[in-house]
Amino acid sequence: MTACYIKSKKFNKSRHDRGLAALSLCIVLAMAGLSVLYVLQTNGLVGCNYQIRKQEQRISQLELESQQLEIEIAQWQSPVNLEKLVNSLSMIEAGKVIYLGEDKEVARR
Amino acid sequence: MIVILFLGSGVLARLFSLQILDHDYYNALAQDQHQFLATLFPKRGKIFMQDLSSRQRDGEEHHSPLAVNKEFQQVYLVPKDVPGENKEVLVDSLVKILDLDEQVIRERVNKPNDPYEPLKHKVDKEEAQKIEELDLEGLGLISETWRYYPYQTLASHLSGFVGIIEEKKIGQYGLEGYYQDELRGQLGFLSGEKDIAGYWIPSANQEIELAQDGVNLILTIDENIQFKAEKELKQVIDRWQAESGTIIVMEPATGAIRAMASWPVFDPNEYSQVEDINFFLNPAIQEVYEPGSVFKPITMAAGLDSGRVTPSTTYNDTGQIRIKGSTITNVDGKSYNQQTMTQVLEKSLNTGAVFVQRAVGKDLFQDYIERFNLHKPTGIDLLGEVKGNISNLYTGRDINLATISFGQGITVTPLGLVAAIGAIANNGNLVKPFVVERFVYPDDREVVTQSEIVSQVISSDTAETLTKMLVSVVENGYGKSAQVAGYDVAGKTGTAQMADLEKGGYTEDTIHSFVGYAPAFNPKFVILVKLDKPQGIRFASDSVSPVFRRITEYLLNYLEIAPE
Repeated sequence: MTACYIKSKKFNKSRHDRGLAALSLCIVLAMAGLSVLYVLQTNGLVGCNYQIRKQEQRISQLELESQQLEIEIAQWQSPVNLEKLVNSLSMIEAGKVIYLGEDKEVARR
Repeated sequence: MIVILFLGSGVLARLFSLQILDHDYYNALAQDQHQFLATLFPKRGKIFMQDLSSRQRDGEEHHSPLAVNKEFQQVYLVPKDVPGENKEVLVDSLVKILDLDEQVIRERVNKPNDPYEPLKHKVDKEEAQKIEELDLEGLGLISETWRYYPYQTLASHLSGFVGIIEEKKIGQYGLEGYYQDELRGQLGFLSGEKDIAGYWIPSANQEIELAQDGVNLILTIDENIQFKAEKELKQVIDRWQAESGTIIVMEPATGAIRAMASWPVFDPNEYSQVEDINFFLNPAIQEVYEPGSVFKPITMAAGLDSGRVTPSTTYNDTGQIRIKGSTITNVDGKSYNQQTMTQVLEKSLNTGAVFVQRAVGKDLFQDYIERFNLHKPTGIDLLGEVKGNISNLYTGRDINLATISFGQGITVTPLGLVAAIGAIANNGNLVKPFVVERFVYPDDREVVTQSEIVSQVISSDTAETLTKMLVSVVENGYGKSAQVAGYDVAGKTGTAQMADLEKGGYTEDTIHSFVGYAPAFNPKFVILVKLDKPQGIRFASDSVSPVFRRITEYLLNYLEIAPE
């Protein structure tokens, strides 16, 4: 009887020890896993940040080019430039403007 | 065990020293390596003119940029990095590409241990490309933003310019000066962490307050009307070798300024090249002059509104009036016997103006002149406006009152005069002129300027009666050169003597003006054309009246105003 009691106590103790070991292992693995996840996430975040910065630089560049083009367009459309074009095409200023009334005088003529 | 304990204590003590006692020191060191603080600069608000014909035709807004922000390149040297053997090549290349003085470049290249020397701002694309192709050590390019005026001299007095004062960019003159606070925006800041390359890491531990960009201004100025006014002004100045001139176009019902042209002009992109800073002053609002006969409608307004005269009231013109040793004559020296008030304006009779002033009486005459606010700034949103001077009105001397009746002995600004005549055009209501139609904020919110009636200076009946008289001036009087077929045009010429500020009295020089509005009984615009010291021409009816006519014809076509 005593031998059985001692045997079962030893058995229970070894089971207990195995459980503790397993739990410890799980905790260690979990921590390791979380650490790996954290590192991966941080790396991923930093990688995204670099991508964002690259795109922002590209956007700035495009905005700058767009702005330069707008200025160029404005200069081309300026009255000074249009007058030069008009003169080069030998166009003349509009003379007297005839407003058509209901009786359509111009048509009759 | 004791050794381990001893070593462990040592480690703990060291940790305590590093992390607790020296915490602040190492924290600051780490921050310096990883933290950064940057100022975020706002974009300066832009200024736009509009195109009324486009809006009228399509219902679409078309805005042309008067002032924008543009990226330029700046060339700089790092003299301490320039290898000795490359200096000559560098100097020769820079002289050719940048067109700078060789001595200046040589001095800057040879400055020992100098980390930075700016060479040239606002370098254009071709020059920047050539600099890049040189690929020389110690020579670099950097982007910088400058204010840019794409239309150069067009509306330069209106825009003003952005200059550098104590290393800050500050608007000066015109709209840039008046709306400096609105245009400049507000600074922001960014505090965060940087990586090993010095780049910002947009993640945790950052504080950011975004910069607020400046407000964009949409002007009442129409770019085509402005261009036309400036072109006509330059032509008439060249034609009569005048010293300077001004043309203003205003909407009498609202006070919106459609054009404000003055000559001489300057290029705000090259403001530093201007030798005489008086060129920056806007004569339309910052100079005063004795208006001469264009003032007679105001005298007549006093006479009509007070009921002391009517258009058909007559007087006997003897050609001159004597007042205590002084003699006032008509401009042509002639006498015309019996004349009506309408004929006084048609023939621009000084004696007739004095008759009206005497009929109104001193106190009432003073009151009416004050009503037109010629002695106050109009309040237009441009920097540096001055006011006219009517102080001779209060001397109590008959000769002063008499000369004021035909526009001598007082001074007005061109804009003040336009506003006053605009009141006659606008049923007797004096409006406040303005130049900015709308403010557009960075969040796309818009604030529209409301037109403001300052006061009713004369009754609408008086305004209508006076308008008929001014139409008669154009049809039958000295304003015939301003006639436009198919339209009623109201207007008045003025050939004013210029005061001699040194010796007193008047010089031989004159200022020619024409002020008028059309269509007379439903006016869409009031125009002043002013020419200073024209040569070889005696009267305004021959010099500026045709300019008024051409601008009026242009506006009637441009705004598609059908004949009455």
